[in-house]
Amino acid sequence: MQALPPGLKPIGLLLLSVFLVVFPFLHEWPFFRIFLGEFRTFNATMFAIWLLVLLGMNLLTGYSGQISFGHAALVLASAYLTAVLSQQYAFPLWGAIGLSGAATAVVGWVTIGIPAVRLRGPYLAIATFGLMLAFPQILKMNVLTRWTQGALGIRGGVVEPPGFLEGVLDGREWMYYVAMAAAVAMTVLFLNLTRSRTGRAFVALRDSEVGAEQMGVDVPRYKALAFGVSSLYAGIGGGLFFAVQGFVSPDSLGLIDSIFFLVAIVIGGLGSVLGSIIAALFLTFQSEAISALAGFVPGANNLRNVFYGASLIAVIVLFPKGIAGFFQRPLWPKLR
Amino acid sequence: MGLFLQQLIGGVASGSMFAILALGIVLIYRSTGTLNFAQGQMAMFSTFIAWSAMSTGMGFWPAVLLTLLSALAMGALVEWLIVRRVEGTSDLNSLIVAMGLFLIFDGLALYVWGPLPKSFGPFSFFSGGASCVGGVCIGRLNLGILVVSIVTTALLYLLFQCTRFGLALRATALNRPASRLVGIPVGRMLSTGWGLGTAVGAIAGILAAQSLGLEIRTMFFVVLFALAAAVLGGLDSPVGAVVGGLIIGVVKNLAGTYTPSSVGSIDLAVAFAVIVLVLMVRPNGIFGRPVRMRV
Amino acid sequence: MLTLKDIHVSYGQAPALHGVSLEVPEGHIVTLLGANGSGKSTTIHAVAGLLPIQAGSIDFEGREIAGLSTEAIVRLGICATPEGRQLFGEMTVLENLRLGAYTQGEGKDFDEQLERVLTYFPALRERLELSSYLLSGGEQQMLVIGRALMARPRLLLMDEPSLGLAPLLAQEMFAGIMSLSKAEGISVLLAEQAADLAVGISGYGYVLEVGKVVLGDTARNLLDNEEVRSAYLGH
Repeated sequence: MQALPPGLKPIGLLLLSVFLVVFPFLHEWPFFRIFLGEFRTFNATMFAIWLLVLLGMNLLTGYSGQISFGHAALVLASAYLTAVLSQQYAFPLWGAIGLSGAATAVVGWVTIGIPAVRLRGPYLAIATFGLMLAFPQILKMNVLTRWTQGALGIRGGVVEPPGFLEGVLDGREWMYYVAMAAAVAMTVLFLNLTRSRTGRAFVALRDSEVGAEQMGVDVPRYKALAFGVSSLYAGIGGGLFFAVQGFVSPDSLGLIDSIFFLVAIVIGGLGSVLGSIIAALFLTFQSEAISALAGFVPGANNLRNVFYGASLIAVIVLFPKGIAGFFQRPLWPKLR
Repeated sequence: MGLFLQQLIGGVASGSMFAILALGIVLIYRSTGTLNFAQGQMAMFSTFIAWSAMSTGMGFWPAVLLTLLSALAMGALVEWLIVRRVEGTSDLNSLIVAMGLFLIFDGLALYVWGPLPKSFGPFSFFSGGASCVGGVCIGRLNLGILVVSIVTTALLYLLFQCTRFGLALRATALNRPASRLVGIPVGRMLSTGWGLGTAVGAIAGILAAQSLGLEIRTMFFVVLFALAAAVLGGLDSPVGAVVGGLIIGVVKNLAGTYTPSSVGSIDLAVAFAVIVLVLMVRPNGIFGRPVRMRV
Repeated sequence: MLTLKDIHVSYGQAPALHGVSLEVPEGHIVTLLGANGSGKSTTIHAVAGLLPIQAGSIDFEGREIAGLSTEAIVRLGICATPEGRQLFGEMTVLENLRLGAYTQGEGKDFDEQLERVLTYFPALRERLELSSYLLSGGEQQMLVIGRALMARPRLLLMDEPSLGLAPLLAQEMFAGIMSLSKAEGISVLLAEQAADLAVGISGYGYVLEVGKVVLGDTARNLLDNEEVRSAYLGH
């Protein structure tokens, strides 16, 4: 968006909002029906959820320079909390999601972020990697089955739109609006945050912790805060994940998902909102795209991880700003 | 008491496997400062090479030798082709590259060998009756694992402490500018570090497959124990990796034995708890040096 | 023996040496004088192959060595003793010396070489099994020089060898360097802040200012030069 001339920006935003609002109904128009099915609404809902998660991950890695291989565990934890609160303690779903998001934020901030302040990169990576591998087993522990129902997981009900929208929207469309609204709101929050003093402090400590300290940034405080905010995004994403999928089990998200989150934000572009959006698109469509590719290239399905791994390395070595780097202003002069 | 001793021995045996996998992680960490999260997947990949060699009719030991040589080359190549590109840039970059390697080896194995588990052992060296001393027994599998681990560790010790080459490897890990100044080909030492780490990982992979069987995800969780061992011992300490591995093996086994079934299995959680505890109390492990902050 | 012609080196965008030319004749000690940041260490690093050179040539005994790796340069007979001593701190004194002989192979004459070095630095003899970080500053400096000698160099590059040493020790060390150079026929290129002592043992000296040689002459003439005396020699 920074690439747009200033006069076009409001128009662009308006068009974007209109597009997002009418999206669930686009497939009813003959022209769009060719490439949009009803299923696309679900895709778009998942896109919104991934966007939330990846914004948080990008804040942590792309802005504050910390790495987490355990972000999928945070999403999973929040999904479980939402499930338990709404299914077993009769919390209203939206309240459960909000509460889970807040709880995840506090957990991320206090139990991971603050201790992580003492840890250098590789150690934090080990701790989060360990959390990721151990968490599904913890969810399956017999002492917890009363809440988690063990390996079976927890089923949720179908989400219905509120009464006044009955007949206008079905459950799927309603979920789309909720998730997209959350994603848009939290994107705006993200933009404000990263352009604030706090955001600049994050960037300073990503570039050099020692340097940030010399500039007067309270390094421990901001590192912990970045983890907290990042966990808030993961938490809201996790709550919505349960609502949308209507099901969560210990194996709903695992190590590979955490790694894919990383692949997505690195390829999309570290330290950029546009990068997170590209990342969320990638995560939403990657498996479909690979399956389509497998139609032409036999074995493409199995080679998927090789391709992603190679891209991850190639991006880090060759274009550290990811795809978003090509769209954003600083790179244009070089391309011309 | 008998049960306790029995579990202790079992723990030492599986711990020795974690120890050498951790040893591989430490060798690589000391060489380029990369925490190789791909260690497990690379070990799995090497083990598949052994499987392939044996399925063409090769004997177990020749296949192992071939695997070790190819693992050595593979690790050195990875350092030379990939890791060197991001060396000295940032921890973040080297961790991302490690994850890239994880995916590459994971995917390659899936592409070449498919998702189905392969039967791989236990081979004759690892199967047979138990050996008992005064009522405490050790199964042939555990005995085999223990012997191979001890021999591996001893050979590495000899290499590092008693040869000129090992001395140069240690020197490179300690101080790179000084190593250049005495004429050590530093680049070659770094590749060798990766090669050795990968080859040691291959041994761990072959050992793990004797009890767990062989598939893409064989090493997924074993790596967690090895990482816990490496953290416990100190990421840059080979001695620490071995001691850490043994401790983790014993703790895991005892926790498994004495946790009531109403709680459920907790071995991964225990490994995670050890990591967290060590990082809280002594972030450089038992034998580790304090890390110097890079500006 | 060593001839630098018009060497250019820069750190990133910032030029550090622009056009340094100098000569080290066989068997002589040559001192580089200059303020902090004038390019003395950079010159040493450039010769040792620790820094890439943008332009210019470095000729060592008729061979172009600019662009060679440090390992190759060490093998040709040029050893550097860096500023800040760069020891393998956690290794023993003996291991450090063994590493010094790395380019010499595991030859049988290791013991001979060791004896030779220990005769110059007898204080190291009782410390052979001690971790080198436990040595005193003076002993560490001896070890660095001894380690370089193990490679049987014909040219020694020394960066601030007196740094952090008490004046008396520094004096002793320079005397040691001189006798060593005489006895072994080793040429020495010396970068030094404690310049009066260094020039005192040298045959030639060069004065560097912001990356350029502004004066090169025999040590005697430099010692007689009022300007040089007041600017660099401290009296």
